[in-house]
Amino acid sequence: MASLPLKNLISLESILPKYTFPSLSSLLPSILQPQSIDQRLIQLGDQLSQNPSHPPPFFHDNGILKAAPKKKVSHMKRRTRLYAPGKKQVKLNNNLNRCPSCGNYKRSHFLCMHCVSEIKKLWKDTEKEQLPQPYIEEFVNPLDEKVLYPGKTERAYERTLRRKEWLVQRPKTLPVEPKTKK
Amino acid sequence: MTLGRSAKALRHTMRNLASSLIQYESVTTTFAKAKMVQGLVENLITKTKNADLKSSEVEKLLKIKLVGELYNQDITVPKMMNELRDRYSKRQGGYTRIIKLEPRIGDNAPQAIVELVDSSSREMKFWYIARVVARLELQGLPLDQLTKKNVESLLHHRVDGAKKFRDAVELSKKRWYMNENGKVIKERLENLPRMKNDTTKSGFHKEFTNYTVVPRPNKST
Repeated sequence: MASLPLKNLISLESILPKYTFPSLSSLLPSILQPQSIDQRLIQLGDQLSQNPSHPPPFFHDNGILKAAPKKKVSHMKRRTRLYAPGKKQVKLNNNLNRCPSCGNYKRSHFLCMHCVSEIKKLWKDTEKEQLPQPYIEEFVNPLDEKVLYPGKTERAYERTLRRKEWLVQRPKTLPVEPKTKK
Repeated sequence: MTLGRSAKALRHTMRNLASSLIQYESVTTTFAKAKMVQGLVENLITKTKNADLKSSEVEKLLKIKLVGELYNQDITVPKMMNELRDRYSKRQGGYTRIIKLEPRIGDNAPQAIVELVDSSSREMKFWYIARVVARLELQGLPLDQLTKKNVESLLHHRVDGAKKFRDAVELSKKRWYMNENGKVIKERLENLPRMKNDTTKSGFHKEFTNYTVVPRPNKST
């Protein structure tokens, strides 16, 4: 290290990879040690010493080499890997039936989700009817109610929130078409 | 078999599911959970059925057992001891039913409905078949073989079943296929069934009329 003909040693050390250059060179036998240094490195050192306002360039991962693909994966190889396997492809549904209560397609041995949701709504409504009615205050003068409980005005964004458009809805299946004679 | 949880957590989930199944008559869960809870509930019902409630000691022991196995005990335990015991007095097992549903939106988990048989208030199959019958009646078509069989099996052990089913059919007619003024909405009845299943020549549920069943001859004679 002492033999290096550099003006500013410290700045160069910060640039170079930490253990590749200084530490390895000390471990190597004297014959294998680098005799001369690249001219471009010397130029870089000069530049750094001349404008100290510029910070030394940032080395990615501090000069430590990490595993990286050697070559770009070709178009064919990527497509065979991603799209060729049969289990990744979209499968056909052959087990389709006609829902007897709405006439649309449904999976065989499964219930039609549209009809299930309709029936669940019915249960909910009938159970609501059976519940005791909540106490409602009655006012002789409607003005009193307005004074006591001023109505809340619903904003536009609140209205959109109430619609719950962000929820994913299960689409209704297509109706089964009547068979046409050939 | 452990549903990805420890034995303690599994026991609690099953206990929760079983007690809500007994309380609400039908529960929608994943298929794996449905299968597990089915065995648990059936076992409990058979135990309550087999217990001789005339002796107070047996009744006390059964109560202790049920309180240990279920949650929400002030509702579930008396329901098991009185209502369900009477309802399933004629049945030899098969107190619950699992119906498959489409996979759940979000995680695509296979769903299922577990329900207590003969409940009529919240029984999916009962209401589904009532809806089918209402539709066929409004279309002016006879019931197909499969629906007939379904209706028969639904009403076999049900107390006052025919009347309950008739009420359900009338209600579903009004709710889904009729206007507020009581007029039939024709758009909802347009899609007629093919009745493919009902024909003798083709289809899956065909009537086998080509041969007659002859009883097996007795060996001793």
